Amino acid sequence: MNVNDISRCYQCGTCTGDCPVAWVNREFNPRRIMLKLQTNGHFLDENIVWLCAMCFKCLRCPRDVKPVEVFSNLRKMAISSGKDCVGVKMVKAFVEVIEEYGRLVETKFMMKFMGLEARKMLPMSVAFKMWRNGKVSLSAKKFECAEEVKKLFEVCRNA
Amino acid sequence: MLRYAYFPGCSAESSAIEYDMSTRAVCEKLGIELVDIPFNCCGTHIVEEYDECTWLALNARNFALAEELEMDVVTICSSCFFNMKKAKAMMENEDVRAKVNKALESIGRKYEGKVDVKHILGVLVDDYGIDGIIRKVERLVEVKASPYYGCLILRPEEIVRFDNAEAPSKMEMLLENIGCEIAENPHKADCCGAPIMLIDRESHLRMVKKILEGASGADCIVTVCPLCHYALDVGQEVLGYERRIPILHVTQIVGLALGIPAEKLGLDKNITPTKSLLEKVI
Repeated sequence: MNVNDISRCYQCGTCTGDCPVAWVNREFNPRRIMLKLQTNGHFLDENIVWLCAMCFKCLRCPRDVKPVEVFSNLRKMAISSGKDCVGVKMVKAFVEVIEEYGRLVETKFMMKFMGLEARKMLPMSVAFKMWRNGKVSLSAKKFECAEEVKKLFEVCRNA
Repeated sequence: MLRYAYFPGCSAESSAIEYDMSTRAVCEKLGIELVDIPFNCCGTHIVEEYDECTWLALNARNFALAEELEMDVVTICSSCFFNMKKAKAMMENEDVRAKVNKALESIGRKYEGKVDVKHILGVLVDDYGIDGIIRKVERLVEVKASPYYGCLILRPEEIVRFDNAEAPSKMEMLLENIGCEIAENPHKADCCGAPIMLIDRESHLRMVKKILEGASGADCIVTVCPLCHYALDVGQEVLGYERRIPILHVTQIVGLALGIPAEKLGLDKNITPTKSLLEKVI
């Protein structure tokens, strides 16, 4: 059986019944997205695949289409073709921070991705509490692994 | 004596600082040695989707560090756990490993495929063992605790091979043996939506609310992942959730049973106050 072969989907909706994002957001309906992919051949709205939370509940797919992997493949395509969408912007910000620091520095990532909009993610009172409790790292120090990580990015880029 | 190369993950120095603190305190008390390594980010599915070679190389570097110590890796993060398990499985293929080792050569390291990846919950329940923990309990934590597993410690089952993905029981077993009464949450293996937090905040918060509601009646929710913890702990503050419920990292509640002082477990660092729970225990 060819895994991720979208043409195998027979629209049972198991994925959608199991999908915790679909439970709370009608726009994200894996069954309907599979149908659109079957009829359109390629993808319509690149923003939709970034709503998948990668929870792997849809692995129960009786036809082995595994929507979670289909979404991952579509994201890969969007990233490599440099699509102008919010998901690709997030990936770029994340990768840049890892490449520079070796680990994820949450505040740097948020600022790079959202700029000043990052302020709106948390109410002031909660942000203050996070800071007071020592949960916001504002240091710009690079981690011990940073040089080696940078090298690995470089080598793989040229491979 | 159990010894592991310790991979706390990137959030251990910031948003999940108390998970790291309580893990170190619990392991010290139990006599489990955690050896710090100059680890790098596991990359998560984000780097994997950006470039598979880089993602594998990042993970191989961490494994190589553990191999140099002849130890397995233990992580406290479900997302790192899944990523490392997946990378490890892919690098069991010798061609893939050879290709990755070519990249590692540039930093003078090599991964030989000998490392196993563990999650702290597995270390406590399977490696150290419930019987051993029972012997070290100094006070029973007689509260109603609701286990929340989330996703990546359980799924995909064939990669993580941790527990029954449909009906997990490792946390229940651990909590019952330190004195807790289990409050079942029908959403205990559903997603908190942390990975889409920055893309669709509204959906994420609705997912959080479902999980909180599923645990209503419990004195606390117990998590095994810093992202799940952030989602539920900070999420209820953001939501202005009226029935505040303390969210404890699994090592925080085990630490209480082992008689470790609350400050050493970072119980004052949780965003949703843990005072109501501590009053019942101490």
